[in-house]
Amino acid sequence: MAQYGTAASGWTPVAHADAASALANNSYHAIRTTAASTLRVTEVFIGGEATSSTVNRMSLRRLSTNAATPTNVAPGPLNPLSAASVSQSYVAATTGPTIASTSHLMNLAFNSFGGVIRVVPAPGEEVWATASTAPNGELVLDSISGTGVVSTEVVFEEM
Amino acid sequence: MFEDRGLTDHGQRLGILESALYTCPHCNRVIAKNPQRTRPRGYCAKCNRTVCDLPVCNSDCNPILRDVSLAQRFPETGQPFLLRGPQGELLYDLKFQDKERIYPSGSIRNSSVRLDAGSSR
Repeated sequence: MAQYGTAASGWTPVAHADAASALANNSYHAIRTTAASTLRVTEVFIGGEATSSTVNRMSLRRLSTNAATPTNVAPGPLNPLSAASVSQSYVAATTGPTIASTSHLMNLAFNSFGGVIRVVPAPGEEVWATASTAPNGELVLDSISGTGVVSTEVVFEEM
Repeated sequence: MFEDRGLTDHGQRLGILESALYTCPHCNRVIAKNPQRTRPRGYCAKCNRTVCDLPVCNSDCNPILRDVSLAQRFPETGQPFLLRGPQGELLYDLKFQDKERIYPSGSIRNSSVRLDAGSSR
């Protein structure tokens, strides 16, 4: 199936505890499905851009409440022949999403002073999201602690 | 220095580290393997996969793919099909699991076998 990349460049994370609500714009990187789409995450890339040593604990989590009126950023197909993605990414919304207060799907701690993390699940071991409604339909990549500037990319396969 | 722990430091002094990951088939969490761990990891014979350390992931088989299917079929219910609790427990109404089964639990009467069927008179 077709794969798509979504990127968020040079954003400053805000430490979001579990259940944090109404996240501020540009403090997260989220992907969302629609009622007719299902995706699985095939790669997460985080590149640190902080100017001094700063440990970020980044995490991929589900949402308990989806964002209201997110500003969609269309994911780019990895193959130019692929149809446009139905799922969308966003980093801003009228009201930001609320993080679910349960276990984290990925915990990715690193030094954002030039550090890089790349997670590529093996085939069949991807994280899933589907059907739009919370908590099933959206994923958010953000910080639990640490506010070093990062650029992130999430690659997903749409089913 | 990393090879004997199951890790690969390709960059040697550049600080590049590769670590094995696996994803729990029950709660969908991605786990980085601790190369110094000696106790065994949980295993689900139904999934034929290694599971994470959460208690419910080790005691019950609740595959995430089944719940993805449920989330696709019943999105209007708002049930947290893909979410798991702190112990790995399911957080949605279990009656939805019956909708994935050909024979809902409790619907099949126990069959009996007569062991004396061949007795002669």
